[in-house]
Amino acid sequence: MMDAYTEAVVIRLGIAILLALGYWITAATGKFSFGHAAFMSIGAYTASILTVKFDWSLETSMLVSGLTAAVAGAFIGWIALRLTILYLAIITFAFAEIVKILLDSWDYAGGASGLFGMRGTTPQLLAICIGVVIVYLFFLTRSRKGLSYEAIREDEQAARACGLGVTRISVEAFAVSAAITGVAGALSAHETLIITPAQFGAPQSLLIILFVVLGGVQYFWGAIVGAVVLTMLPIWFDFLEEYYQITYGLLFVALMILRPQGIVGSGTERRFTMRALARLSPKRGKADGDG
Amino acid sequence: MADLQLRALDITKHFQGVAALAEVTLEVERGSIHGVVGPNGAGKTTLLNVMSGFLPPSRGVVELDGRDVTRLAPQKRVPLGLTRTFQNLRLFGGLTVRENVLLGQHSRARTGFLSLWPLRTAAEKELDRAAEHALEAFGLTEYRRRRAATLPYGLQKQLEIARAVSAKPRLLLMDEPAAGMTAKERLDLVPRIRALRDEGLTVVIVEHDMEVIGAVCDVVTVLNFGRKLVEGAPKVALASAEVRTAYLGT
Amino acid sequence: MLIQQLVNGLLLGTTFALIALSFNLVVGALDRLNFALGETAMVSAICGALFMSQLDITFVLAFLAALAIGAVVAGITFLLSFRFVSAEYHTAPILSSLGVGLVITSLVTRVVGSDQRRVPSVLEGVRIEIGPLRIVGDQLIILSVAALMTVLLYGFLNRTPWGTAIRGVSDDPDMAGLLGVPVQRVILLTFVISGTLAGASGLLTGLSFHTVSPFTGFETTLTALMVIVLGGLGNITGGVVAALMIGVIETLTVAYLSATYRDLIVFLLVGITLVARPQGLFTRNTGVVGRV
Repeated sequence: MMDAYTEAVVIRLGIAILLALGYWITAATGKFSFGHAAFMSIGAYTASILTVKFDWSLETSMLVSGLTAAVAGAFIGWIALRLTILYLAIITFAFAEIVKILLDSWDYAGGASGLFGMRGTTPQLLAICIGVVIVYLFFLTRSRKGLSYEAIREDEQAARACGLGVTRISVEAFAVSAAITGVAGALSAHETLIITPAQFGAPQSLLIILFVVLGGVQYFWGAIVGAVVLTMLPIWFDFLEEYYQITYGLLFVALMILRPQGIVGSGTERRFTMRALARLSPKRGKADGDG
Repeated sequence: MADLQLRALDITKHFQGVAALAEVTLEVERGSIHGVVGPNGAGKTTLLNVMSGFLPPSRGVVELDGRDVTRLAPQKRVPLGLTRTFQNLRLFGGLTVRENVLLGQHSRARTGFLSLWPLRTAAEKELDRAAEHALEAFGLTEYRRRRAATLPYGLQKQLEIARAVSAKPRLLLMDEPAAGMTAKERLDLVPRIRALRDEGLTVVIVEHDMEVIGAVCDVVTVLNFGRKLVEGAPKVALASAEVRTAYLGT
Repeated sequence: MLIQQLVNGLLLGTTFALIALSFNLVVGALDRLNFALGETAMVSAICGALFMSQLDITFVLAFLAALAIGAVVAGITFLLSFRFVSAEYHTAPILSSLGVGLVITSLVTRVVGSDQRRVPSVLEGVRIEIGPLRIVGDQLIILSVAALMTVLLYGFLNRTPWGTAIRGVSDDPDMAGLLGVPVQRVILLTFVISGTLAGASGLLTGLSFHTVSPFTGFETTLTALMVIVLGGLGNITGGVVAALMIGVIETLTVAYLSATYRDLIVFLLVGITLVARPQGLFTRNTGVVGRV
């Protein structure tokens, strides 16, 4: 039997892994969402309302959470994924903000002061969820469906020329990703025991992105690596707790310059050299062009 | 009445007020190799993009086997038997050669999430054999596990054709297949395109290189400034006075 | 009083217009968004407010300092998040500039604390009354400075060689490079100008509310994003018109509905716009949507 502290750490770690794996699915198609915390909060509130106000079991509520988040994800994806990455970024940011505002003014769910009364979760339940997702990803990445995700990430036009319905496939990936994030949100609500809309703001979204970007999108287990590293660092090094925002910010900046493909993954040309720093005036060549 | 597989009728395409194509009509007969030539900026690639669905025409109609496909997205034209290649290669560079070919088969395959797993169906095994066959036919078998971006340029061009053919199209649109090729590779291209036709494919080639066009095509359409200049057998069309003027200037 | 609210809304809109101009300049130059501009505006505003209240310097000097700080921060952001980031990864500049924003916010809260800062009134006692309409001195300053900066920017872009270079690079960087325009320096200049606009907008917004908080950076970014989406990404004039519209809409919502619905209504409006007209309300060509 684990002691309470270890159990808390294990649960936190498990939720981070679940979030990272969920996000990886949409990142695998090259579509980055900047408001995934919104799906987390949709899942968290759905499950908490069901368990607290309707006395449902956590297992059932969790599945309903996933479904609700998937519907929201499909809707947002349908609006945003037909457009380019910048619009996707803007829409997902705004969506997260809308969810937050709505929850803030929803008195039934506690409004801005939050919802509580949840009864906790177990590492076992979390392990089952992660297990299911890993099995799903294992088959996905070895299937034609997984291959089509990679194709869309590599080159959308070429994917269209091969007959891939790019929008349909990426909306589907986005919805599955939202569903897993919703389940993770449901479980995290039953770990923190109190949820407020403010918990699921932009910093939480950025943290989920950082899990996956740090690990790299090439392999799904890269996301696990990223989640573990970023969850354990502040636990091992106490002082990071206080400086976490600055650390995460700098981590984004450094990663994008040095290893935009993440810790796990291969293949990029480096732009940062002393020569490039020395002359800030070279002509923009082909490699510099905007895609 | 000729057996027309693809008709582009009175296609006009404006880019911010500038007409890239003005009422161009192209009729492609089944089983033929149809060349579209013209100087740079004549509208060749625009026409190909309209026919493959990548650009909507400002006016005009595209018909495939008598069916109006003008508003159909490119990916929905693939199952109808129309695929294309690109002028500047568009391979999935980070994926392996074999994976590129598998993606070419997308419209023929079931894409469920057990589709490449050993428990797969007879249909999937058949596709697998087809993929190996395509790799073999285009001389890519020994590179099947290499990332596409690491292949030499000539082989990348081969791979793009292999990928396009893997959809089992009945009509292939090729955008400047000879661009960037060495003289020897160009020579190899001619029998390869003929072989595709002999397997039952109709081929439309948009090309800058007159030599390739002259050697391989049954019919040639010459465009200039977005308008059709001449059309006919290559010898006649390419020798006509208008074409000489367009290419060599007055 | 409806007409008073309309005027207040337009005044709020002018500060939005500055920040939207700031975002749109970068979109024009690189087809990328600098997500740290909201924080850039915040840091300029905080510094300006501190200079005025602690060092007791005049508004004019504090304003110039805010401009300079905005310029420097935006220049650094360009180097960190754009210049040396691989163009192969489309999300890289977005993530990197978001990271810069995080760093700015936490640096500011560490150095000067997380308290709100007061921005003292500038032209106290000045008040114009036209019938029922009332405009106080601060509003007069906001309006005139914002208008002046917008006019100066238009003049700069259209009348000077560097402005022409910026428009050239925004049109076609490869062609501009071939014609001998030092593309990277022009882009750096664009970032610097966009930073000064962000700085101006930050301090002017602070002046209108008489207070600045170190946690408003991301909110500012979001508002600016809504404005430029409504006006069409990269469309400078469209951005200004959309900014005034959103200013009026927000003010009217707060006055006649409720402050909680302020952002909601704007987000929904922008959402509907995106579904119906992804290229924005005022852009005819869809080019930039394809490129960005």
